[in-house]
Amino acid sequence: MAYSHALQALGDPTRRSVLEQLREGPRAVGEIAAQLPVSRPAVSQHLRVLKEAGLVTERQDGTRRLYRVDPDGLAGLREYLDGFWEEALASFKAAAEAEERRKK
Amino acid sequence: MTTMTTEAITKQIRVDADPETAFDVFTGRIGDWWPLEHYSVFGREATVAFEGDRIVERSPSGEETVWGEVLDFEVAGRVRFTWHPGRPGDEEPTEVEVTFASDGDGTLVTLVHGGWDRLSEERRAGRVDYDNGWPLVLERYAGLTT
Repeated sequence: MAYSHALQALGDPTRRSVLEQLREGPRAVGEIAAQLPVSRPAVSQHLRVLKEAGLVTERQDGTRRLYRVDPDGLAGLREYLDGFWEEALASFKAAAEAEERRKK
Repeated sequence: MTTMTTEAITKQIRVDADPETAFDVFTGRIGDWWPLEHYSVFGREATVAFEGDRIVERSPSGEETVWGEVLDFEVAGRVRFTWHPGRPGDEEPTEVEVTFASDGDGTLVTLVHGGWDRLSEERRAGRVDYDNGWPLVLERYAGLTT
């Protein structure tokens, strides 16, 4: 499923940092790299992974290529977590009610 | 633009059991109901339990990984814990609070999963640490849920 890619992409601290920066607004590769202790090519590589995971989109702005957060990707990630807790709680409910019946 | 991801996730479920039972099953028997086959570090053969002030998952071969640390434990009322499954040494974990409120002959269970905003708080406080803070939970589960 798609969100596992997003979760995997976010497993890397540098990629999380890149995404944190992009949450503040669209940035070019050089601007992102300037804030991080990693090289520009490394940032490009991280951006590629984030893009493939659906978390980041890019567009050309004159001579610059700007990267921004893809709100749809983040919404999807949230839905995934939402579904995760729903599943866990449904399972909990069944166990608690079975225990209640057992006690009666 | 993306603030929705930083709001706490809130889930509510009504359980036909009294708050004591609901609380006991949630904390004391998490290993019986947690969907380990979908959400675990070691897979379906693993076990998970509240052990003292930690939530610990164990593999059949004896490996262990800590999902979170218990912060508050009020029997039949409320449990609050840090939440960082798959990232045992996480210094900026998210946080989960589960409350159990009597509701007729049952219990209303409310789960709030928050703490997503810690990085921004740190920044406001002047401490910029790029290595922490993204709302990240389950990445290690990713491979198990596909």
